[in-house]
Amino acid sequence: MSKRAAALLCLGLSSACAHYRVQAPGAAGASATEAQGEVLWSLGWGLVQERPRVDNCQDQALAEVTQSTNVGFALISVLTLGLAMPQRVEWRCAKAQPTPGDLGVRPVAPPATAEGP
Amino acid sequence: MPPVIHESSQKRWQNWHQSYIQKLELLVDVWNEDASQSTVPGYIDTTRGLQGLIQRALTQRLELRGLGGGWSFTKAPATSGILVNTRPLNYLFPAPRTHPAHPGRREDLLFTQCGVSVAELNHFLKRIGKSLTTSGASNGQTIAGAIGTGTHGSNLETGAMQDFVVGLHLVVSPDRHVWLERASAPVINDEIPQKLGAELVRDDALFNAALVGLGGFGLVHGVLMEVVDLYYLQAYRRRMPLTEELWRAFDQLDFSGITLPGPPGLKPYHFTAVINPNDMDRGVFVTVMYKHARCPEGSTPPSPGSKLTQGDNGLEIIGVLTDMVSELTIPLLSRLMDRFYTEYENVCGTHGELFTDTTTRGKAWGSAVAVPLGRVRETVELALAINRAQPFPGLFGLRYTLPSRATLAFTQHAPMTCILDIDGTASTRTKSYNRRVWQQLAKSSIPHTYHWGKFHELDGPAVRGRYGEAHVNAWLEARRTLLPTPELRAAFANDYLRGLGLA
Ligand SMILES: Cc1cc2nc3c(=O)[nH]c(=O)nc-3n(C[C@H](O)[C@H](O)[C@H](O)COP(=O)(O)OP(=O)(O)OC[C@H]3O[C@@H](n4cnc5c(N)ncnc54)[C@H](O)[C@@H]3O)c2cc1C
Repeated sequence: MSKRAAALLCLGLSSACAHYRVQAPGAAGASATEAQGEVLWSLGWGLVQERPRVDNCQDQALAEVTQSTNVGFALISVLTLGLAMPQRVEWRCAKAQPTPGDLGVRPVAPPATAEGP
Repeated sequence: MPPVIHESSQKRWQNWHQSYIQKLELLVDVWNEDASQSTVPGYIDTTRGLQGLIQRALTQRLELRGLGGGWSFTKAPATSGILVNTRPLNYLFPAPRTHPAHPGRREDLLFTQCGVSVAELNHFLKRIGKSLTTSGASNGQTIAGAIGTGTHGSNLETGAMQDFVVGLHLVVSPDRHVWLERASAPVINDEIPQKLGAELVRDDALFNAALVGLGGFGLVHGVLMEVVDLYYLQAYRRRMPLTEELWRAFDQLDFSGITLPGPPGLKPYHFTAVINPNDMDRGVFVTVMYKHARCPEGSTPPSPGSKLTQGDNGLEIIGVLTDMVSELTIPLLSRLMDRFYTEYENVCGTHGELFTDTTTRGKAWGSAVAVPLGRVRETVELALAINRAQPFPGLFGLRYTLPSRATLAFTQHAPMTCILDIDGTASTRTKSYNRRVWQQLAKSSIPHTYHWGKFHELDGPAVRGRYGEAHVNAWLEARRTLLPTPELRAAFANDYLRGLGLA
């Protein structure tokens, strides 16, 4: 292996298993769902970029997104000189904020006495 | 409309602190069909949806387990079968109508779905001028998950979280769900369980057993809790020399020999200590909070953005620190403590503002052993002696609660339970240190029990020995009554319960 290829490989491997988490601050970061994930590919040096299909959040926002790579992904990226770059993306949905309800058996308010003409 | 049951394709599940990975058949997130509005029809439909999941488990001969925040370090929420994530279920129903014999006000009651988190409870209750009496040091647990293992704080006037719960709505089979409360203290108006289609069961033994149910009593769908008027806590943290007088405070809660930080003459509402066993010459940290109807003049509000907040305990400290550095050494822990776990004076906020969000995952590892007042010093000295022989980079925490009425609560020691938390990084050193403490405790005469959600090495005989034959038998008997067939009991069992002799 040429020195150049070895250097590239080292560079790739040194970033392997990187793991980034973006989390909404405070209580918003407490998620409703367990992590759901997909491997996404960026092809042609970013010309084609896959998007995750987020179909489990019931119209709620995302609480947390994690992006990670591993040795295998790094190798693919290095060997294809960046033509194909996979990465794993995981997300957790935020909780809904339901309006409080009434259990439905509040005592019936006495009918308002009609005063008037 | 039936609830939305989202089936995940993943066949492995990991708990919050990533202490284990569990292979499973199916993981589902359950959402109310209309997640934006708490309604009775929506709640009833979700009950049916949960019953459908139980039916599926029975048909496919799978286990089924409710999942809360997934914050337990133990495998209490783990299953090889169907894991039902209940966190999206967060309907809130304040002030339900009460039973004529209930002496309290209906405004002091809140009925919620199982997945409401402690953080959500704190926010909602503040909005309506109410508060929880207690909670753990941080707030990511769901209400069902928190009570499921007996989560506690350090409030000198109340018990653990399950002790403010006065009613449970349990889904126990595909065709039965029950509203459970104490016969000796009926709370709910009979019409409400009727309206929800639930069978009303008033029975002290069943209720007390199901409170700390370890997920083994069916799916908890709703929880009725007693809340109190909004109060404020005036908080102080000071590093104090560990004198004979401070030992007496730790051992007996006798504060007569020491000057606690804060206004003189007031009785503490909350009292905790954090001890760095490798840095005791400089003293130990004592946190004291006093309860007020409003914040006293001159106090400052808590700073929500800081890494560690006023109510944080050993586990949060280690969690924050191991998020920054993955390996803690003894000198590094002391230096980081100096930087991040600092003294403070006269900070005032609501319960929810002081015991607030923990978003760190870190490589923290925690165990908690409960002992009665009067045996605290002995327990801490035993742990310190083992640390002297083989030091580990970790912290001890001391917290206190009144004994619980829940049959298998680990905070069961009268007249008051003290919990010694031992928190460190998830390393072999921490684990072998803890193991030594557990072995020495087992040889001692100190009555002690372990937190179900934190690490321990209990097995069936140890559970019977520590928690008491009568308690274990009563718990198992209640479980047999509520889950009358072997199939149902098998569905709501898991390796954790089997290992404890509780399946
Ligand atoms: C950062 C951190 C801080 C902590 N601080 C404290 C503290 O201050 N005090 C303390 O006592 N403990 C503390 N713990 C421990 C924690 O509070 C307990 O383990 C608690 O049970 C976790 O609640 P959860 O909602 O995550 O429940 P889970 O861990 O998801 O589940 C706990 C149990 O409840 C059952 N369960 C959950 N939901 C349902 C349902 N709907 N129906 C039936 N069963 C259900 C599960 O099956 C399981 O048996 C802490 C843990 C962490 C990670």
